[in-house]
Amino acid sequence: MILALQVSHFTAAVTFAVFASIVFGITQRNTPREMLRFAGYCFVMFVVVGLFVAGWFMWLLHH
Amino acid sequence: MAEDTSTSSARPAAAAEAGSMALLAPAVAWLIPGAGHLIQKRWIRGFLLMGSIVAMFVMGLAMDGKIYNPNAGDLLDILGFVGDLGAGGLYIAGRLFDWGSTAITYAGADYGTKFIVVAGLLNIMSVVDAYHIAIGKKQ
Repeated sequence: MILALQVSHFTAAVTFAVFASIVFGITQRNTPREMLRFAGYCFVMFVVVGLFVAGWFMWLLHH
Repeated sequence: MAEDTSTSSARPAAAAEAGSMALLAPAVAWLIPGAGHLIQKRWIRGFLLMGSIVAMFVMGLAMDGKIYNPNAGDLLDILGFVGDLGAGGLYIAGRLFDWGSTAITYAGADYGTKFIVVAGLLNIMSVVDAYHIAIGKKQ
Protein backbone atom coordinates (compact mmCIF):
# COMPACT_ATOMS: atom_id res chain seq x y z
CA MET A 1 0.00 0.00 0.00
CA ILE A 2 1.54 3.29 -1.10
CA LEU A 3 -0.39 5.58 1.22
CA ALA A 4 -0.68 3.77 4.54
CA LEU A 5 -3.39 5.24 6.73
CA GLN A 6 -1.96 5.93 10.17
CA VAL A 7 -4.61 6.22 12.86
CA SER A 8 -4.48 6.16 16.63
CA HIS A 9 -6.11 3.34 18.58
CA PHE A 10 -8.86 5.76 19.66
CA THR A 11 -9.64 6.89 16.10
CA ALA A 12 -9.66 3.31 14.86
CA ALA A 13 -12.00 2.25 17.67
CA VAL A 14 -14.43 5.15 17.09
CA THR A 15 -14.44 4.51 13.32
CA PHE A 16 -15.10 0.84 14.00
CA ALA A 17 -17.94 1.81 16.36
CA VAL A 18 -19.58 4.05 13.74
CA PHE A 19 -19.64 1.44 10.96
CA ALA A 20 -20.49 -1.53 13.18
CA SER A 21 -23.34 0.43 14.82
CA ILE A 22 -24.86 1.33 11.45
CA VAL A 23 -24.89 -2.32 10.37
CA PHE A 24 -26.15 -3.55 13.75
CA GLY A 25 -28.95 -0.98 13.72
CA ILE A 26 -30.12 -1.87 10.21
CA THR A 27 -29.91 -5.64 10.59
CA GLN A 28 -31.16 -6.11 14.14
CA ARG A 29 -34.29 -3.95 14.18
CA ASN A 30 -37.41 -3.66 12.01
CA THR A 31 -38.52 -0.04 11.76
CA PRO A 32 -36.36 2.97 10.84
CA ARG A 33 -36.98 4.58 14.23
CA GLU A 34 -35.92 1.42 16.09
CA MET A 35 -32.90 1.05 13.78
CA LEU A 36 -31.75 4.59 14.58
CA ARG A 37 -32.22 4.12 18.32
CA PHE A 38 -30.42 0.78 18.34
CA ALA A 39 -27.54 2.11 16.21
CA GLY A 40 -27.13 4.99 18.67
CA TYR A 41 -27.28 2.61 21.61
CA CYS A 42 -24.62 0.36 20.05
CA PHE A 43 -22.37 3.34 19.30
CA VAL A 44 -22.61 4.62 22.88
CA MET A 45 -21.94 1.12 24.25
CA PHE A 46 -18.93 0.64 21.96
CA VAL A 47 -17.44 3.98 22.94
CA VAL A 48 -18.40 4.17 26.62
CA VAL A 49 -18.07 0.51 27.62
CA GLY A 50 -15.68 -0.72 24.95
CA LEU A 51 -13.29 2.20 25.06
CA PHE A 52 -13.52 4.07 28.33
CA VAL A 53 -14.60 1.38 30.82
CA ALA A 54 -12.37 -1.31 29.31
CA GLY A 55 -9.55 1.22 28.93
CA TRP A 56 -9.65 2.27 32.59
CA PHE A 57 -10.04 -1.36 33.67
CA MET A 58 -6.86 -2.27 31.79
CA TRP A 59 -5.11 0.76 33.29
CA LEU A 60 -6.08 -0.48 36.77
CA LEU A 61 -4.82 -3.97 35.97
CA HIS A 62 -1.54 -2.50 34.79
CA HIS A 63 -0.97 -0.35 37.93
CA MET B 1 -65.24 -14.95 -11.03
CA ALA B 2 -62.66 -13.49 -13.40
CA GLU B 3 -61.04 -11.77 -10.43
CA ASP B 4 -60.77 -15.08 -8.60
CA THR B 5 -58.97 -16.65 -11.57
CA SER B 6 -56.46 -13.82 -11.89
CA THR B 7 -55.82 -13.80 -8.14
CA SER B 8 -55.28 -17.53 -8.01
CA SER B 9 -52.90 -17.40 -10.98
CA ALA B 10 -51.05 -14.44 -9.52
CA ARG B 11 -50.42 -16.22 -6.23
CA PRO B 12 -48.06 -18.94 -7.55
CA ALA B 13 -46.23 -16.32 -9.62
CA ALA B 14 -45.69 -14.16 -6.53
CA ALA B 15 -44.59 -17.21 -4.54
CA ALA B 16 -42.12 -18.17 -7.28
CA GLU B 17 -40.76 -14.63 -7.35
CA ALA B 18 -40.35 -14.66 -3.56
CA GLY B 19 -38.63 -18.04 -3.80
CA SER B 20 -36.17 -16.89 -6.41
CA MET B 21 -35.52 -13.69 -4.45
CA ALA B 22 -34.75 -15.80 -1.37
CA LEU B 23 -31.89 -17.35 -3.33
CA LEU B 24 -30.82 -14.29 -5.31
CA ALA B 25 -30.79 -11.67 -2.55
CA PRO B 26 -28.29 -13.42 -0.21
CA ALA B 27 -26.03 -14.35 -3.14
CA VAL B 28 -25.98 -10.80 -4.49
CA ALA B 29 -25.60 -9.40 -0.95
CA TRP B 30 -22.54 -11.58 -0.39
CA LEU B 31 -20.93 -10.64 -3.70
CA ILE B 32 -21.65 -6.90 -3.42
CA PRO B 33 -22.23 -5.62 0.13
CA GLY B 34 -25.61 -3.89 0.41
CA ALA B 35 -26.80 -5.03 -3.04
CA GLY B 36 -29.14 -7.62 -1.52
CA HIS B 37 -31.11 -4.75 -0.02
CA LEU B 38 -30.85 -2.60 -3.15
CA ILE B 39 -32.40 -5.27 -5.42
CA GLN B 40 -35.31 -5.41 -2.96
CA LYS B 41 -35.72 -1.63 -3.22
CA ARG B 42 -34.46 -0.92 0.32
CA TRP B 43 -32.39 1.94 -1.03
CA ILE B 44 -31.32 3.77 2.11
CA ARG B 45 -30.51 0.60 4.04
CA GLY B 46 -28.66 -0.81 1.04
CA PHE B 47 -26.49 2.24 0.51
CA LEU B 48 -25.77 2.58 4.25
CA LEU B 49 -24.71 -1.08 4.45
CA MET B 50 -22.64 -0.79 1.29
CA GLY B 51 -20.96 2.40 2.50
CA SER B 52 -20.19 1.02 5.95
CA ILE B 53 -18.85 -2.37 4.83
CA VAL B 54 -16.88 -1.12 1.84
CA ALA B 55 -15.46 1.77 3.89
CA MET B 56 -14.32 -0.62 6.62
CA PHE B 57 -12.70 -2.94 4.08
CA VAL B 58 -10.95 -0.10 2.23
CA MET B 59 -9.78 1.52 5.47
CA GLY B 60 -8.44 -1.85 6.54
CA LEU B 61 -6.44 -2.08 3.33
CA ALA B 62 -5.26 1.52 3.70
CA MET B 63 -4.02 0.69 7.19
CA ASP B 64 -1.84 -2.05 5.67
CA GLY B 65 -4.15 -4.80 6.85
CA LYS B 66 -3.61 -8.41 5.85
CA ILE B 67 -6.04 -10.48 3.78
CA TYR B 68 -5.95 -14.07 4.98
CA ASN B 69 -5.43 -16.95 2.55
CA PRO B 70 -7.23 -20.27 2.96
CA ASN B 71 -5.22 -22.12 5.58
CA ALA B 72 -5.31 -25.03 8.00
CA GLY B 73 -2.77 -23.71 10.47
CA ASP B 74 -3.31 -21.53 13.50
CA LEU B 75 -6.92 -21.31 14.72
CA LEU B 76 -6.89 -17.50 14.65
CA ASP B 77 -5.65 -17.57 11.04
CA ILE B 78 -8.48 -19.94 10.10
CA LEU B 79 -11.03 -17.66 11.80
CA GLY B 80 -9.44 -14.67 10.08
CA PHE B 81 -9.92 -16.34 6.72
CA VAL B 82 -13.56 -17.18 7.53
CA GLY B 83 -14.19 -13.57 8.52
CA ASP B 84 -12.47 -12.21 5.41
CA LEU B 85 -14.44 -14.59 3.19
CA GLY B 86 -17.66 -12.98 4.42
CA ALA B 87 -16.78 -9.86 2.44
CA GLY B 88 -17.55 -11.81 -0.75
CA GLY B 89 -16.68 -9.82 -3.85
CA LEU B 90 -14.34 -7.57 -1.91
CA TYR B 91 -12.40 -10.60 -0.70
CA ILE B 92 -12.28 -12.11 -4.20
CA ALA B 93 -11.04 -8.80 -5.63
CA GLY B 94 -8.48 -8.56 -2.83
CA ARG B 95 -7.10 -11.99 -3.65
CA LEU B 96 -7.20 -11.41 -7.41
CA PHE B 97 -5.39 -8.08 -7.27
CA ASP B 98 -3.13 -9.09 -4.39
CA TRP B 99 -4.32 -6.30 -2.08
CA GLY B 100 -3.24 -6.05 1.53
CA SER B 101 0.07 -6.70 3.19
CA THR B 102 1.56 -10.15 3.61
CA ALA B 103 2.60 -9.69 7.23
CA ILE B 104 1.39 -7.59 10.15
CA THR B 105 4.43 -5.54 11.09
CA TYR B 106 3.06 -2.76 13.32
CA ALA B 107 0.00 -1.93 15.44
CA GLY B 108 -1.76 0.05 12.69
CA ALA B 109 -1.56 -2.94 10.35
CA ASP B 110 -3.15 -5.08 13.05
CA TYR B 111 -6.06 -2.61 13.30
CA GLY B 112 -6.37 -2.78 9.51
CA THR B 113 -6.45 -6.58 9.57
CA LYS B 114 -9.24 -6.49 12.13
CA PHE B 115 -11.15 -3.93 10.04
CA ILE B 116 -11.03 -6.30 7.05
CA VAL B 117 -12.20 -9.28 9.12
CA VAL B 118 -15.01 -7.28 10.71
CA ALA B 119 -16.11 -5.94 7.30
CA GLY B 120 -16.59 -9.58 6.27
CA LEU B 121 -18.49 -10.43 9.44
CA LEU B 122 -20.75 -7.38 9.05
CA ASN B 123 -21.42 -8.43 5.47
CA ILE B 124 -22.60 -11.83 6.73
CA MET B 125 -25.11 -10.00 8.95
CA SER B 126 -26.19 -8.02 5.89
CA VAL B 127 -26.62 -11.24 3.87
CA VAL B 128 -28.84 -12.77 6.56
CA ASP B 129 -30.89 -9.56 6.75
CA ALA B 130 -31.37 -9.53 2.96
CA TYR B 131 -32.59 -13.13 3.17
CA HIS B 132 -35.06 -12.26 5.94
CA ILE B 133 -36.47 -9.44 3.83
CA ALA B 134 -36.75 -11.78 0.81
CA ILE B 135 -38.76 -14.41 2.74
CA GLY B 136 -40.99 -11.75 4.29
CA LYS B 137 -39.77 -12.21 7.86
CA LYS B 138 -38.74 -8.55 7.90
CA GLN B 139 -40.05 -5.51 6.05
